[in-house]
Amino acid sequence: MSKRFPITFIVVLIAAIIWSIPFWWILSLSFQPNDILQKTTSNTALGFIPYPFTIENYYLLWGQSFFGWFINSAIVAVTMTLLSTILCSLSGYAFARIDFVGKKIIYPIVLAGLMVPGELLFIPLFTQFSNLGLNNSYAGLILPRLAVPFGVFIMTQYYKGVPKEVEEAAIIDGANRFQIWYKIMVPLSIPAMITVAIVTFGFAWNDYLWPLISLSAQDMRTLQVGIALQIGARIQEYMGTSLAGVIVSSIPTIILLIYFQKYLLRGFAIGTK
Amino acid sequence: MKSNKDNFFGYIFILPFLLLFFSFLLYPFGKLFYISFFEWNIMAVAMDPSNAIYVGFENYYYLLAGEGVWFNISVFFTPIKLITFSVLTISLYYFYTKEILKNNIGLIFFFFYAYVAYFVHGIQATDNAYWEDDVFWKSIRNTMVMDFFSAYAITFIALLIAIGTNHTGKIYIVIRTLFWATGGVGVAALSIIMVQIFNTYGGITSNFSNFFGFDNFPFFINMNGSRFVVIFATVWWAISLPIMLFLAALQQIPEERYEAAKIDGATKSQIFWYITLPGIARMFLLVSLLQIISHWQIFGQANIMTSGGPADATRTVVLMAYDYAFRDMEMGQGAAVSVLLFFIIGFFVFIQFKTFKENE
Repeated sequence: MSKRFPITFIVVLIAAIIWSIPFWWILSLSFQPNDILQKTTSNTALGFIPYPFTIENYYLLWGQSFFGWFINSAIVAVTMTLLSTILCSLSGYAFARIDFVGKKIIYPIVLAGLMVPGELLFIPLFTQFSNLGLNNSYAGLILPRLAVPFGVFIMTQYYKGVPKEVEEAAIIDGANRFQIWYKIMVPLSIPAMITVAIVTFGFAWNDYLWPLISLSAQDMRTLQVGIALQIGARIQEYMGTSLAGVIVSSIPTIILLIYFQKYLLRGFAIGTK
Repeated sequence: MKSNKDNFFGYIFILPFLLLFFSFLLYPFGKLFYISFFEWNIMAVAMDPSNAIYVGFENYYYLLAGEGVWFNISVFFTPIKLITFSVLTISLYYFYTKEILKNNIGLIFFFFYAYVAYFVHGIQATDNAYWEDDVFWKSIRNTMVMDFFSAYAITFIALLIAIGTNHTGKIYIVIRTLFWATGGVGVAALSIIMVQIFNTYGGITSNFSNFFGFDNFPFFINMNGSRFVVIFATVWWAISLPIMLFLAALQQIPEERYEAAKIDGATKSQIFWYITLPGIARMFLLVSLLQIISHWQIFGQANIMTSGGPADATRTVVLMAYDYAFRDMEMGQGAAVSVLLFFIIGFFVFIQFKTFKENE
């Protein structure tokens, strides 16, 4: 170990602690009672030590509409992730390995879809989904987010890297394309599929603009919309509970981000090659 | 050989994706342009589709037309602007003479965008100017400036963090995690957190300044203060992916280059400027372009934290489109804003595709 190890280490460590100060502070406030926070947020050590300590805030959350938002977000995000990953894997395999008529035209069109910033389409999507009568439904939240050119691109690149011999043996054995995809390609491409799944899940969980427009019924709200519209409005009164909601809403995606960072890195290495 | 079986399975495999792709990406994309040529009141059209009135380019005219705008050179003679300009130009000259700019297209693009964002400030309305919509221009300028600062703050800070934590060892994994875990927070949660942090009364900033005996700084009343909050929130939130990308790029620089440089007696800063930076030049450009593209579409932070205020200081382009479409009920006007934004973003996307095609 070299001599200057501690200096770099200490600088980086201090920077990391300062960087995450907002998070520690919010975490500490979420463990303090609402009536104290109405008066002051710098109770003990500028608010960094949760004293007086209470876990009532987290307990209270589940009796309220917050629970419903959490369920809505979970349903939407999980469905979207499963469907989108399967779709991307299927079409990625077709684009990478199957020679069908018109592939040379269709694949560039799909890649051109990468250039369309999805956030900009909320106006036509809204009119489209009003006509279909799908606003205020899970389908309305999920459908427009399923066709992700980025996911198809990642999967196609990944399948192009799989050696041809792997499937040739199966073709000689008489397996059809679907069997090859299902039995050979899917198990081989689990890492890339996890990448696509994590990105989709994170996107779905934190999506804000489209649910805000698409949902008008209160009981259909997802976490982000609920937090923005309801928690934001009454935060002065119930600060502890509100911040507990903020913390709980972030836990799933933070855990995924930390736990699957290896897959994310690998996926983006494919995507940016 | 294209066999019938391959055709059959190929289309079966891509059919579900293609259906969704055409109906929920390409079709809405076309319809965005279509709507922008209509006076499309959301209520009236919902009752009877024939209520959409074709108006040609009137929506665009409303956004762009006006008179009395000119390039006002006098705004550049404030101390802050002069310092900014000198720092930019001196560092550009320094990089040029030291041959650091050579082959580093990422840095070249940084200077290009910095000068553009700087000189956009000079476009000012005169006293007797008349504008159909005087907020649209402001929102373009706001978004561009916030976009520039967010994108390059993210790029440079992420690069620093990546270099600082690019060591082996379990403790560095923990430190890295502290930096990039913030990316898991959702945009609404982020906005609530940041409003609490920068709150004039009871925010962490005011607690600290009271503790040291200073006055509270009213972030959400001050125009630059609220811009700073939006930029800070964006940087804090969006930095995780750039850190990961830079780490991946740093680990691909061959170890021999560093060793050779050390044998030749290169200093630490020389190693950074002539080995590390050129080694990740492509990733530098990619990260900055990705950030520029994504923060031109900044919406949630501005909508929840400041609602575009104070005095339209944080009114972004997407927020304008949203307000036109769902507050004023004028879908056509909102669609026109989106189309114009699409062309602005298209410029950056074009550069991104061009540089990466050439590299392949």
